[in-house]
Amino acid sequence: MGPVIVLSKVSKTFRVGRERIRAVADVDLSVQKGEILAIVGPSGSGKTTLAHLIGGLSRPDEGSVSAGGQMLRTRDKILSKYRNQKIGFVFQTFGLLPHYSALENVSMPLVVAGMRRRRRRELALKTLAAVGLEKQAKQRAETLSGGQRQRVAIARALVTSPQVIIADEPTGSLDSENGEQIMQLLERLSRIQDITVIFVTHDLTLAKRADRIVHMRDGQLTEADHAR
Amino acid sequence: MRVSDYIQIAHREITRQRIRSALTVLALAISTVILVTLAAISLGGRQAITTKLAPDDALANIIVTSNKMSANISFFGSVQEANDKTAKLDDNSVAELLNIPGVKNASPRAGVWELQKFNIEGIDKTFVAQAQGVSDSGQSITLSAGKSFSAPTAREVILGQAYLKDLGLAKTENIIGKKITFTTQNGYRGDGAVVPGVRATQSQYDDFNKTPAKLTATVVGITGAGSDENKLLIPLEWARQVRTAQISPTEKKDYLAEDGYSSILVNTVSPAAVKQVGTAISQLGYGQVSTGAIIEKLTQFSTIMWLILGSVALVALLAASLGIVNTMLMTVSEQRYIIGIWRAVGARRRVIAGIFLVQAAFMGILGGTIGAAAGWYASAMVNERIAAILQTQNLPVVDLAAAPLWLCVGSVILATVFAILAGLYPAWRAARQDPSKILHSI
Ligand SMILES: Nc1ncnc2c1ncn2[C@@H]1O[C@H](COP(=O)(O)OP(=O)(O)OP(=O)(O)O)[C@@H](O)[C@H]1O
Ligand SMILES: [Mg+2]
Repeated sequence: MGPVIVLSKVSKTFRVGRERIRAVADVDLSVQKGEILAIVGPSGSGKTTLAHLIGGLSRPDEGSVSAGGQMLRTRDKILSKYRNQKIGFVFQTFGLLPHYSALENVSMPLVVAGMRRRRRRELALKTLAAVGLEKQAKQRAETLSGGQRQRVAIARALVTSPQVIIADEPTGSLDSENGEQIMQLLERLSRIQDITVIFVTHDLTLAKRADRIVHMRDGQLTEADHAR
Repeated sequence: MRVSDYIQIAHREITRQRIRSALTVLALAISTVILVTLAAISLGGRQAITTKLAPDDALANIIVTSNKMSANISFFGSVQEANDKTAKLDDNSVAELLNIPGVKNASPRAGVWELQKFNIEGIDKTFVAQAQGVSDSGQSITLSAGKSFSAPTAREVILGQAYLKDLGLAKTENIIGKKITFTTQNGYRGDGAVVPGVRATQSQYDDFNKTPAKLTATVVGITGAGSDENKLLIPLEWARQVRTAQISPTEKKDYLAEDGYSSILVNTVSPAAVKQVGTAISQLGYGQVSTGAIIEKLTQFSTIMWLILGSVALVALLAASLGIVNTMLMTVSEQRYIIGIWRAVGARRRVIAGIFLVQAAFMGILGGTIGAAAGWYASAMVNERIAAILQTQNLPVVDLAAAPLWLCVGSVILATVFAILAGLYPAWRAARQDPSKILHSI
C-alpha cells in the first residue's frame, strides 16, 4: 500500500524584516497509512511549520506535498476541502470555540461541508460517544476540563473520517494522566480505524510510542530509529 | 456551507456581543429614522403642493395683470423689474388676449373698492367686502352651489366658500336667495347713491361726504375652493355701474374704464398650452401668473429641499456605516482565533467573508427595520400634529408627512446595502487572515 502523505523537497521561508528564516528546508517525508509518526525537535526547529504544510494550512515555497498520490494544488478551494475532508487538526490548547457546546464544536467541519443539521448531529454525537463524552454534548466548551476539551478536539478532528490526524503537542497542556489518556485515544484510533496520526512532541518518552520518530533541527529532518 | 448556518452563526455572534451590536444597530436605526422622516416630510410637502394647488382645470388658467411685478415668483429672492409703461387692462386687452393661439376664453375682473363691508340678512356679522366684478361669459367661476348671474347688471352676488364657516352655516342652501347688504365708502357716488342736488347746502354736502350708502343684492351662488374662495363676486357690468361716479349733476365718470380691469383670467385650451400662451402674454407687455408656474416653482423648491434633507439623511447613514466598519474591524481582530479554527476545519476564505457579511447584513436589516418603523411612527405623529394645527386654523388638512410603504421598505433595503458595503472591507480582512500564522501559537 502506498503512502498517504508524501513531501518532496519541501521548503518554507519566513521573512522577518530583512531576515529570512528557513523554517522548513528541503524536507522529504513519506507517511504510511495507519502509521503513527512522532516529530520531535527543539523549540523553533520548524515542527509546527511542517505540520501546517502537511495539513494544508500553509503552502510550501518550494517542493510539493502529495496526498493519496495526488499533488496538492495551492488553490484555496482545494486546500480547504483537503483540510475539511482528509485532515483533522488537534492543537496544544485545544482550539475549541469556548461559547459553543461540545456538540457544536464537533459539528464545525460538518457545517463547513454543508451537511444537514439532523445528519450532522447524529454523526457528531456518535463521534463524541467514541471519545467518551456523550454526556457532555450540550456543555459549553469553556466549562469542560482540559482532558475533556482535548477529547472534544479529537472528536472534531475525527468527525469527517479523515485519513490523517495532525496533532501539535496534543498533551502539552495536560497533566501526565490526562496526557496519557489522550495518547491512548490516538493510538486506539490509529489501530482500530487505520488512521494515520502525525504528532509533534517535546516529550521523548511519548515519542517512543510512535511507530516512527523523525527529528527536526533547523528546519531539516533526520530520520531516527524506529521505536518499535 | 448552508445559508441557514451563515444566518445562525451571524445571529450567535451578534447576540454574543450584545452591547456592541446594539449600539451599532442603534446608530443605523437612528439614521434610518432621520432618512424616513425627512423623506416623508419632503414627499408629503410635494404631494400637498400638487394636490392642493392644482384643483382640476385651474392648471389651464393664467391670470393676466397690468404689470410685470408678479411675473417672477422665486423663493430665493429675485430682482423685480419695475415697469414704467404699465399696460392698462381694457377691452382691447381682452381682444388681444383672445387673439393668442391656444386661448379659449378671457374674462376680465375688476376690484370694486367702493363696496367696503357687507352683511347678510338674519346674520349678525359684518365682513370686509373683497368684491370683484366678474364677466362670467366663459364660466370663469367655479361654483359649489347655486347658479351664476342671471344678467350682466343683475344685483346678484356669488359668495366665496370660505365665508360659510364664519357665517356658521352648515348647509349652503340656507344662504342662497338671502339678501346681502353692502356698505359703501363715505361719499359714494355710484349706482344707487343719492347725490345732493345743485341747490344743496354746504352742510348737506358735508353730511353726504361723511355717510356711506347701502346697496342690496341677492346671494345666488357659492364659489368652489380655490383662489375665489375668499371673495365676493358680482356681475361685471353692475360693478361698472358701482364704479361710475356722478361727479357733477350732468357728468358721470366711468372709473372702471379709467383704471382698467384689475386682472383678466385667461383659460387656455390645455395645461400644456399655458407656457406658450404665457410667453405670448408677456410679449404683449402684460404681467401673468399661472398656477402651473407657481407649482413649478414650488416643486423646484421642494426638490431642492428633498435633495438637502436627503443628503443629511445619507450622511447620517454613512456615519452609521463607518460605525459598522469600525465595530467589525474590531470584531475581526478579536476573532482571529475563531477565524483560524474555522479555516483549520476547512472553511474557505469566502466562507469567512460570508460569515462577516451576513453579520453586517443582519445588523443592517435589524437597524433598518427598527428605524423604518420608528420613522413611520414619527412621521405619522408629525402628520397628526400638523393636521390638528391646520384644523384649528381652519385650513384644509393635508398629509404633510406620510411615509408610504415603499419608502419604509426602501430605507430598510438602503440601510442593509450600506451595512453590507460597510462590512465588505472587514470581511475581506477576515478572509485574508493567514490561518497558519493564527494557529501557530495555540
Ligand atoms: N509567521 C511567521 N513569521 C516569521 N517567522 C516564523 C513564522 N512562523 C514561524 N516562524 C519561525 O519559524 C521557525 C520555526 O517555527 P515553528 O513554530 O515551526 O517551530 P517549532 O518547532 O514548532 O517550535 P516550538 O517547539 O517552540 O513550537 C521559528 O524560528 C519561528 O520563529
Ligand atoms: Mg510548535
